[in-house]
Amino acid sequence: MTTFLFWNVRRKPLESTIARLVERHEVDVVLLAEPGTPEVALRRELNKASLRPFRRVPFVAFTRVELYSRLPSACFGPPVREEDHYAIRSLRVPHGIEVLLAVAHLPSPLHKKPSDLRSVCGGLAEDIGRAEEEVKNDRTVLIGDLNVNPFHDGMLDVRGLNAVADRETVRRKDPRTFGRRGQRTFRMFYNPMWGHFGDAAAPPGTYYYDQSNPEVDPLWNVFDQVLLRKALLDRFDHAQLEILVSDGQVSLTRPDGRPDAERASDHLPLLFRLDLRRRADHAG
Amino acid sequence: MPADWWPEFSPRAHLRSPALQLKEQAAILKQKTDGLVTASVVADSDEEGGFKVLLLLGSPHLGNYKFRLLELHYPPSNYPLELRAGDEVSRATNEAEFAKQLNSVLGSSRTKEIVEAIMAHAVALDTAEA
Repeated sequence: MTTFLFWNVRRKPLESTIARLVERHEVDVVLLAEPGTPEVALRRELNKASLRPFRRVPFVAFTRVELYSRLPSACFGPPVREEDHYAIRSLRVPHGIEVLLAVAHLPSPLHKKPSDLRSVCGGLAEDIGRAEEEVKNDRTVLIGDLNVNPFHDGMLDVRGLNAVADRETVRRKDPRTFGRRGQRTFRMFYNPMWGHFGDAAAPPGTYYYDQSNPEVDPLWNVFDQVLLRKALLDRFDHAQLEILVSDGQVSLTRPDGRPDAERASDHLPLLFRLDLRRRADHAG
Repeated sequence: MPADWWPEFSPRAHLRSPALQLKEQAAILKQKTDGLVTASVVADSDEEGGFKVLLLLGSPHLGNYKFRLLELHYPPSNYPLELRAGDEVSRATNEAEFAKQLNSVLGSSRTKEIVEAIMAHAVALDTAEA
């Protein structure tokens, strides 16, 4: 199993907390949005308890998320697509299959109109599609602070991320086809984060915001998400996806359950595992 | 001789399309960076029947790598045009306004940082290959 941790740390020096999370959950790949610790200090903290040292894996011009990993550097391919808000590169773990890793920190809804956020999701979907065609690999996992909820138009639009809530629909309908003449097809994503709203699986989201006070506002949001293409569905177990509320020593939430932005971040970290081992039936 | 029922046409050859202006700037970038950074203009149709044109940066040293620097949306008549670049969205109603906005995006600190980052990676790989 390959373990991923994504966290928007809101420029806070949370290296000790990150290191405890990494040790506790045996994380292989750490992705930090709005990082608040210089690389040297973070690696020093991460490597205190790790036999396999963590290294930073740089992007070319994308700076909104930092990637650290204890996998060998050669596991990560060079970035194939970047924009201010996302980057896409390949990852092949030792003795494993190659996947496309898309990492994103999309613009804040505080500074963007919903229609602009929908366009950003469309651009990201388009670039993922082009990257998949270029490297001839559609085993894509998208991870990040998407700054929109799973029910946002940009997430559900077929020209956007086209990400639905259940894996059976993805298995059955991907790719979705429209038009009789000049047919167009749109690849889908499975978005397991739909299962993390409300009281069904605590906590009720990854981010709580109640200061803008619009009349329609869910307050709890699931902005931090992982999305998977059909080819990765049987390598992902929903039970291996968690929104973390503690590093084992320090709670990341306040007594009422909201993220503790004073002690940690206003976002909660996301942890998930993928089985990327090569299987006997897997030729690619 | 039959009557000419056609209107008088005014040639529009002097009008430069937004995509053509991007291609001109792409050529200048290649020259200015000694070929380390290249820009390609990719045109497609958008949802409203107009054009969607992307300006993508790359480098001959970075394989398939592309950075999406900006995106234009405009109708067949060229204007009004929407320019999206990073976090910024602006609109132009004529060529002069578009030139001003494009100048602002290409001359911005964001563009400078992106191009310099691509150059740094290209130089590093070029050195490693040599």
